[in-house]
Amino acid sequence: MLMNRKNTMKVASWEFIKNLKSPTFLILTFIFPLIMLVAGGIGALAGITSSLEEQKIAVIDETGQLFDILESNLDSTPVEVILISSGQQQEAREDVAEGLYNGLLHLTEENLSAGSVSYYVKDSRDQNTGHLSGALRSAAITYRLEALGLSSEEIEEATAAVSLQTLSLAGEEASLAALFMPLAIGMLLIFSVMFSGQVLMYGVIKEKRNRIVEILLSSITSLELLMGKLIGFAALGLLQILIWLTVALLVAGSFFDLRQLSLSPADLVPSVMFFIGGYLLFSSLFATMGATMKDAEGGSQTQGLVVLVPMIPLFASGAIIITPNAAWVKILSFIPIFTPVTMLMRLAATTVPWWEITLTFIILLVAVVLFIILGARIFSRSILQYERTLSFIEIRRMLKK
Amino acid sequence: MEPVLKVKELTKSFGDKTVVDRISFSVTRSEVMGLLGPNGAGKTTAIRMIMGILSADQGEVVFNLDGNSGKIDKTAVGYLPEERGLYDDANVLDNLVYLSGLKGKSRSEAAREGMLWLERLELTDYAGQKLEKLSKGMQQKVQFIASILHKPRLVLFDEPFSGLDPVNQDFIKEIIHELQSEGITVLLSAHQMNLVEELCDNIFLINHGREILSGSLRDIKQSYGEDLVELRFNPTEESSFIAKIPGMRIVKEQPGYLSLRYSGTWSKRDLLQQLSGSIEIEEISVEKPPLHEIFIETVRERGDADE
Repeated sequence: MLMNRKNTMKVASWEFIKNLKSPTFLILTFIFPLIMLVAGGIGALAGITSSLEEQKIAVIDETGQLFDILESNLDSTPVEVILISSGQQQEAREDVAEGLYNGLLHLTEENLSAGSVSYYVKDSRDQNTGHLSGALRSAAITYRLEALGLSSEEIEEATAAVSLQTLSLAGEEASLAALFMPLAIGMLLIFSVMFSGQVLMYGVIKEKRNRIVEILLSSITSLELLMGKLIGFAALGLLQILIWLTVALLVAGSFFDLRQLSLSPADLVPSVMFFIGGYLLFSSLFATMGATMKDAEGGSQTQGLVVLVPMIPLFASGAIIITPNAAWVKILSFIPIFTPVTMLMRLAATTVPWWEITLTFIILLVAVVLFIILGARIFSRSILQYERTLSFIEIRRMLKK
Repeated sequence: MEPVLKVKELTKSFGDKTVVDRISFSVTRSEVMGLLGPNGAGKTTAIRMIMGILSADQGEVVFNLDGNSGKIDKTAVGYLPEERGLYDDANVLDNLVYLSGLKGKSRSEAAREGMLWLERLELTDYAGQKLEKLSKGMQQKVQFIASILHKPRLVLFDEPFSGLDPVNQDFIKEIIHELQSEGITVLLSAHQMNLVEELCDNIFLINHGREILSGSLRDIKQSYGEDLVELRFNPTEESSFIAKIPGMRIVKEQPGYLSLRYSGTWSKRDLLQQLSGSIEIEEISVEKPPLHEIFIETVRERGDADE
């Protein structure tokens, strides 16, 4: 089958422009990140509001000393503690029931030494005790150390905070953002591939259903048509990614300092390579499947299942990210259909040795060429079979011929 | 004259069913050739093989569009498929520009000439509309424009008249005549025998994938054995003798009216003299039957004989 580059580019630019204007693209490109953002935002917001909630807590202090320490520990928080006498306990319980106090804390020597302090609330499901428990824990330590006879300077020295700083072997500082960003990028790439692949598939089915394909094939070869579509949709996918990344960086930039990510464009090169490779692989698979189907709903849903295969590593994404260098993950990287998704996740989660990147990429490229050639063959033989969805036996026969 | 299109022993089977069976014909420059046959005769399959959309099992299609014979130059061939198809979510002019662009026409030229065609087929107002807003007949006309906008030297029209009202059928007929006078070669399939008769120089009739009749339309009609005789006369006169004329067959009989088939040895002149000498004739016509009847007759006789 000969290929005319000009024809391919004409198809590519037509597909690009037509789909750029389509509602599906607009929705996927702009609504999807919005949903992600809102979903992420609600979670973060819930955390922030709960820590900002003003609380009033009644405290009965039988130790006589703990209250002062607790109060000073809670100084900078929206939690206010009010000391009451043991005699007012019944009254305070009623106040808690009426909502005047958020809770009643009962401090005694006994339960302090037992290591468990009672805190009464109206509804035990009300778990917003973050500030209080932190303040109480450190107050108890201070109190016990004082009881041992240490001076306040000595106590301060003994209880000075120690935090864990995670460094890579190269000495780079790891931060939550540094881990999160590449992962987010990896996920975005995967979603983009999946979405556009599906749009491409339905496009092919539609062209087949409204018979436009016959006109196209009277002017160009099926390989030119297939390649044009793949290129057009790859460009579309790259544009989508660019939009997502810009939005993501703008949003992320308003939350934290992006410079600490130490994310240079060069670091993204392998990801982009696997993105494009994966794109071509899945798109040719999806387009070919589309060509064998009568309609999107139609009879055999086997084709629908085939397009799910490349997503399998996504279901194991948690395990892959935690152990990106496990043997089974490595094996997965070398199976072409799983290579793009697995490698995108590994690249996000760890530093993959360069030889593995190179080798898996070569395997991916070979698979892409193979998929396109075989895809074009099935494509050209099944695209005019309007009346039915082809069975896998028929598809296999086409491949053999 | 060197043929523009030569089809040799073209054969195609789907499974064990032979859909096109060793058909051969050629079409010369500025000729209009009608590929005829009942539904399922293999016309569309033959046309798809000629267009290179389907590959033939056997046989050969040779083009000679620019003086060099060889394989198809898709930019010089126009195609109107039987199953119409355009992008219904794109506007009319964009559809035309894209499809003729794939045939090598520049955007600006395609847009300008596309508008002229739309104007001619009374679709100017729809140029910027999405195709799905158009009626089926209108879409059909757009499809027709798409097949000729790039100025092909050979056009294949698969059922160009189906789905069109008589006014639009006339539009298309007129354009096909024009194409012919510009030296463009046309191969068309159609079921409207009156239109085929008006348009085609040659016909090629197939049934069950095989040729059953071919040649120039005039020759076919001339060599067709029967004449169609229609006769109006004074109903009070005795006319029973007519049925006894050797070779005469009555198709329809009403008082004062007879529709007849004549396959005897008399010339038209003798026939007229014989009839007019015996009864008082009000109106008479003796002519070859329309293609419609030749088609039906031939398919019935030759087609069934093949079984």
